[in-house]
This record gives sequence, C-alpha cells and structure tokens, in this order.
Amino acid sequence: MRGSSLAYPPVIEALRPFIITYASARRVSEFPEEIQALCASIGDRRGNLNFDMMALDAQGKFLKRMNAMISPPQFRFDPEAQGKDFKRQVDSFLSGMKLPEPPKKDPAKLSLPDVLGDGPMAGVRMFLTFGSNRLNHYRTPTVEAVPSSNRLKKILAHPEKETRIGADGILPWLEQFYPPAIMDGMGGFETIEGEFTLRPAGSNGKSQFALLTGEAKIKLDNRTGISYIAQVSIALEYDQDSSDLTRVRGVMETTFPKKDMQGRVVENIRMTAAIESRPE
Amino acid sequence: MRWATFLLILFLLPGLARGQDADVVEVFKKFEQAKPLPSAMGFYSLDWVCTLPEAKIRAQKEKRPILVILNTNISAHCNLYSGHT
Repeated sequence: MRGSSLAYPPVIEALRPFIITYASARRVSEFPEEIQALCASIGDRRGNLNFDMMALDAQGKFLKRMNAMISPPQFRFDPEAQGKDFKRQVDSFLSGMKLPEPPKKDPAKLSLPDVLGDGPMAGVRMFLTFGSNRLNHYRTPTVEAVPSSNRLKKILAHPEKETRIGADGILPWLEQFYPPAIMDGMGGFETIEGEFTLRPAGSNGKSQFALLTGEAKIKLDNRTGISYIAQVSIALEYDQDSSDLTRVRGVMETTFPKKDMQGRVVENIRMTAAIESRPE
Repeated sequence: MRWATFLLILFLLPGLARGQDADVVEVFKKFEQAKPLPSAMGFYSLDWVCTLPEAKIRAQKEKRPILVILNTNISAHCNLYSGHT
C-alpha cells in the first residue's frame, strides 16, 4: 500500500491539497479516541476496516469517505498496475470536492518521522530499505524515529580505550531493525543478542570520533522464528574536548529469510538501515 | 639536543594522531549509500501530521482540507506512517 498505491506519483499529486493524518491499529477500538469519535459521528461502527480514507473540510467537518480496494494479487503485485487502479478510486473519491491549490513545496522537503527536542542527539532516525523481492514489498522505505535515553548516551560516551558493550546497550536501535509485513508474529522479538566494540577513531581537529562495530543475532517472535545477523557499523562524533555524543551516522545490514506458512524459506531479502542522529 | 628532540616529538604527537580513522570515512560512505534519496520517498512528500487534533489546527489556519487515512490489520500491529508492523 505504502510502496505502490499511496506512492504512485499521480496519486501523490492528487492528494497534495490535503493535510494528511492517519490511524493504524489492529482494530478500530485501538484507534485514538478522536478517530474513534470521528468514525462514530458518521455512524461507522465497524470493528475492523482494511483501508479507508475520509475527507474533512478546513473546519474539520466530515465530507466524504472511501473504502479503498487494495488487492495486490489481483494485479500480480505490479506496483504500476496497483497505482493506476488506486488512482481511479481516488479520482472517484475526489470528484465533486472543491479543493484548494496545493501549497508550493520543495519536492526535496519531506514530512518524515522525527524525534522531539532540539538538543544534540535528541534521537536518531532510521531508514530501512530492502532488496528486490518477488512480491514487490517494501518499495517505500520504512522510517522510524527513536528518542535517545540518557543511558544510551552514557553508554556511547567517547571511550578512552576500546571497550565492549552488549546488545542491550543499543537495544532501542536494534529493535527497529526488522522487516515489516511478517504477519504471523506479535510484532516483537524472541531474542536480540550480541556484543559490540566501541573504540576511539581519531579526530579531524574539530570533532573526535569513535566507531561502534559488531553483530547482533536477532530472532523474531513470529511462528516460523525468522532470525538473522545484523552487522552494525556506526560512526559516533563528539566535540573535540568533550566525551558527550553529538552526532551519529552508520548502517545496519543483513539478509533475512522470508518464509512461507510451513516455515520453508521462499527467498532471502537484503535489509539495510541507514541511521542518523536528530536533529542534524 | 636529546631534550629538544624529545620535546619536538611530544609537540608533533597530537598532530600525528590527528585525522579521522579511515574506517570512519568508510562508515560515512556506507551511510550515504544506504540513505534513500528523496525521490525514493514520494510517500513522505505528502503533508503528513501525526494526529487529527494537530491536523485540525493546521487545516483551520491554512484553510485546507484534511485527509484521514485509516487502516486496521488484525494479524499484526501496523503503522502506516513509519511502515513498520
């Protein structure tokens, strides 16, 4: 949906006049209260819905609803064909609506998930991208924002000499390194284990650096027990005269097995995370 | 003379040590290669806000309509915006 229908360029252009918000959950009863109230206000009592869009006017008054039909198998997982079909549905949904001109926007400016706070290392943003796969999944990157705890910053303070840290030390980052659309699990992990080396890595005169490298073995809690090794390489930056972490850039890399319901590996998919500190 | 040489080495040592580790430069390169380009993230070029109350405030101010996208997935928690289940 994110990688085909909603990412189809003509659909994006059609939706530009709107301010867009969302709610995602296992069931409607888990939506935020204001969304549940919105559904109730139009007499929608469904407990589950696949993919709905509602248009509200600038005063927040309900205008129209669309129950979208998204069926990748019907289009043999072809993103272009799915996009075209979704655009047809969107055109029908928008017909009769008087929309304002979309605001002028720099196409390079994105509305990405972010952390709160304006101090250095308020958190990190992780961009997960995936190699080609037979169902054309994951075409839009998964983007997560992870706040930094004081504990994490303390663990990653500039080391005077090489030290070892356990997976627990960077758990909030490792916990985001998993593939979406694993439908037979609880969305969690059975284990995340590993050990990393944190070592001083020189200076450029303004900043000093350290490198965090190592591997973590990650096992998901899904029924078929998907597991993979995350290779972590992260450069950490500090002011020249301080051990306080100020900036992070790095990658996590792996290839994970995608399994069928019988637990047989049907393909291996490359997964990479680019990790950067926020705010930059 | 010996003291002068010793002091010279002492003076030069920080400079010799200066310079990023080549592995740091390598990690920066890998990061740049791994970070998706804006052109690959058209989904995020839409004007997203995370909550309906926030959207309403902006809509009123900017005189723009709101689109609320809803999805449920009984088999796994999902987040349409981040992309993670």
